Amino acid sequence: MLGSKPLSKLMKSLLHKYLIALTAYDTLIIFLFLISHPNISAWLFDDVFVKKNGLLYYIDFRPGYPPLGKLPYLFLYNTLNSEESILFYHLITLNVVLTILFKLLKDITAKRKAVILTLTTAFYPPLIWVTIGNPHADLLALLWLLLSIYFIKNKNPMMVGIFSGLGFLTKIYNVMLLLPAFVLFKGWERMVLLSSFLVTFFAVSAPFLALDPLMYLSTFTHHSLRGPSESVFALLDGYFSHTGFRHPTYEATIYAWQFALVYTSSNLDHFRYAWNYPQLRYLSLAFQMIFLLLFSLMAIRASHDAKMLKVISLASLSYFIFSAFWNPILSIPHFILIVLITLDAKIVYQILILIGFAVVDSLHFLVWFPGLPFGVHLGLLVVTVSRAILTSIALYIAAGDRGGGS
Amino acid sequence: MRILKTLSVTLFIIILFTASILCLNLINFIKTDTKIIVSHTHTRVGLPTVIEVPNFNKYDRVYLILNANTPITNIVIKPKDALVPLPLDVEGTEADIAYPILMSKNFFFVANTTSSAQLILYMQPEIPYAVKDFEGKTISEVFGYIENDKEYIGIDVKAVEFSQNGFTQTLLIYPLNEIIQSDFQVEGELKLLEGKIAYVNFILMTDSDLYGFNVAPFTLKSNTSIKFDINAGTRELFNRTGAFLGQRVLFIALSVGLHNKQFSTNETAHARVAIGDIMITNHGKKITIKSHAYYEYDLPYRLYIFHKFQPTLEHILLVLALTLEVFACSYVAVKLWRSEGG
Repeated sequence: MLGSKPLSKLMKSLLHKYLIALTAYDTLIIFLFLISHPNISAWLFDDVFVKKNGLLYYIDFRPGYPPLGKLPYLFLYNTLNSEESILFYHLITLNVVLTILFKLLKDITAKRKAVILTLTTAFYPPLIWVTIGNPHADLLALLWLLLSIYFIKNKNPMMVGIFSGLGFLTKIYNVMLLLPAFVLFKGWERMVLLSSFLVTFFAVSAPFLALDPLMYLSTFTHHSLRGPSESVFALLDGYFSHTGFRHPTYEATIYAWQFALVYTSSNLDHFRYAWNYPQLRYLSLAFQMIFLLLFSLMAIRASHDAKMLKVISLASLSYFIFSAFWNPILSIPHFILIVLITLDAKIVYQILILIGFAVVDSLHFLVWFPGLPFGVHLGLLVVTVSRAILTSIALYIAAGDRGGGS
Repeated sequence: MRILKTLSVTLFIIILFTASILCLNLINFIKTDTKIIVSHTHTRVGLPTVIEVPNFNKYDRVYLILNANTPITNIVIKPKDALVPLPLDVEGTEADIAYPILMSKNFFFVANTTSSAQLILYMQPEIPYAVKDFEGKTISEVFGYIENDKEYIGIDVKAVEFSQNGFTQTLLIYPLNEIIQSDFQVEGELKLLEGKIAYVNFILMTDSDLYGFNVAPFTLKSNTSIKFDINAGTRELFNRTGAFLGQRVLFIALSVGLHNKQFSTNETAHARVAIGDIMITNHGKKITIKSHAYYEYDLPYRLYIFHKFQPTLEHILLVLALTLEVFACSYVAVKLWRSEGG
């Protein structure tokens, strides 16, 4: 048994165990990619269009995501133009996401629980699906979200500002964390938080702001024209569609308000939506803001790190729970925030509820595949109501402090 | 410490001041960044129709919207290089079938010079249907056709590029917007005048689904008429029956398909199809789509000139100043935080 001793030593090392687990996981993801071979490049029509017509993102053309969410894909498309390169970009991001999540969980709960929850997240189907075949900003946005939460816990306003800034420059929802962080920090910490957020924003945005600030700002503001989708609010408004009809790509070469002039709003098209009940839109926004503020204020009274993390996650979760817009990709940050708010629960209950979300979110994804026995309308109704019930259970669990966190 | 605090407050005020000037400049630009011309012109098929595009700057965007039931043969820009057309692209495909603009025809240009220009349009007859490519690329020409005192709309579809599956598919779309009831019925007649078809289908389009019915098979010979009758009991191409009942059908369409294997290499891949009146019954209401082609008609249009922001030296300096001010303010804030034990 020559060499068995060093090997066991190696296995005992947590880092090596972790690296082996990560390698096995990555191998599985690559294997899934190879057998499913998803058509990733079909999503890159914006990149094809700007390249073909000699346009520049944020100066001539407003894509759907801020620069950090979009430019990595443009870079990969222009330089390597291979689906494998996007898979590897996703894999690297996902590995860092899982590492940060594990570190965050290990800091505030038992190691065994941290391992189980990280593994549960790693095998969450929408996360795997996005990694394999969906070139959107969500994985990177998740990384910044987790890093922001991590540094809120570690009470470092500068890093929170930087990572919230990077998050905002990847996907807009990351900016929400600034509010609970602002409430939590005191005195000059607040100034550091805001100024480091702005420094990050300007460091990336200055060239675009100098060359065409209106096109750049349109990237952020055109979302206000969009309608609901796949949420309770969408269904209440009678909208049972996905992210709208296909729309002309060339219309992204004008500013958002100019686009609003040429594109008539309709209660059938998410892309430029006319609400049947406009009150729902404001109700959604009001709920988001009220609960964001409420949980942010509650964070001040958090007696220990685990509790503060829970309340901060609840503040962030308010944005998702009451969002009028939903899609299977948005389930990913929602799932991770559910992991964080239910940390007090017994691991069995926590895993059960996470499996429940995994089933519902996977079903949501499948709703859009033709040939299922239930149609889109019934499918969306079932997943939306199921998710609302599961979220209520998760919140009920989160409301109790059962001391199972460590 | 006191100096740093004073400096931070001063920097904060300067940031607000710089940002305000920047915002004011941008608001002033936005106030006049769009010029809209809503007008109409008298059109006679065979003669050019001229639309003036006045006073645009280099990089401005020019957007022309016409009704899609007034098909266009060609558009010429004068002077030639004044406006560069951007290719039509609907999320990676060239099929101009995005629902909200299904009944309109859009042209989009980027200004290549600072000047004025003319758009010279060569129009086809106006018909009740919007003509759009769905698969592959075709050149379509519509015309009026009369046989035995009965009017038809003729369409000559020539394949330019077949899609990967070997088909071209051209849609003739009509807006309906009705919830389909059990008495739903569509009756019509069409005739293959010349060439070969792969199919002619009748399609019901909802916001999330298509329901297709074959009304003329590929075996249809030239100079042969065929009548069709579609109702709630008619089996669809996807083998469903009555699945569209209770659905809101936004548009109906006739789709003319060609297949590359039907034509030899030295043969023009085309079909000339004549479409008669279409009668639709739904919920006791009767709608007739009259087959008449107008050779002289009023052409309404909307022309947008969207000015594009062009950075001035003042603007670039303001952005640079704002960025530096934010960096300086952040540096001071971090210093103060660290000095307090952060």
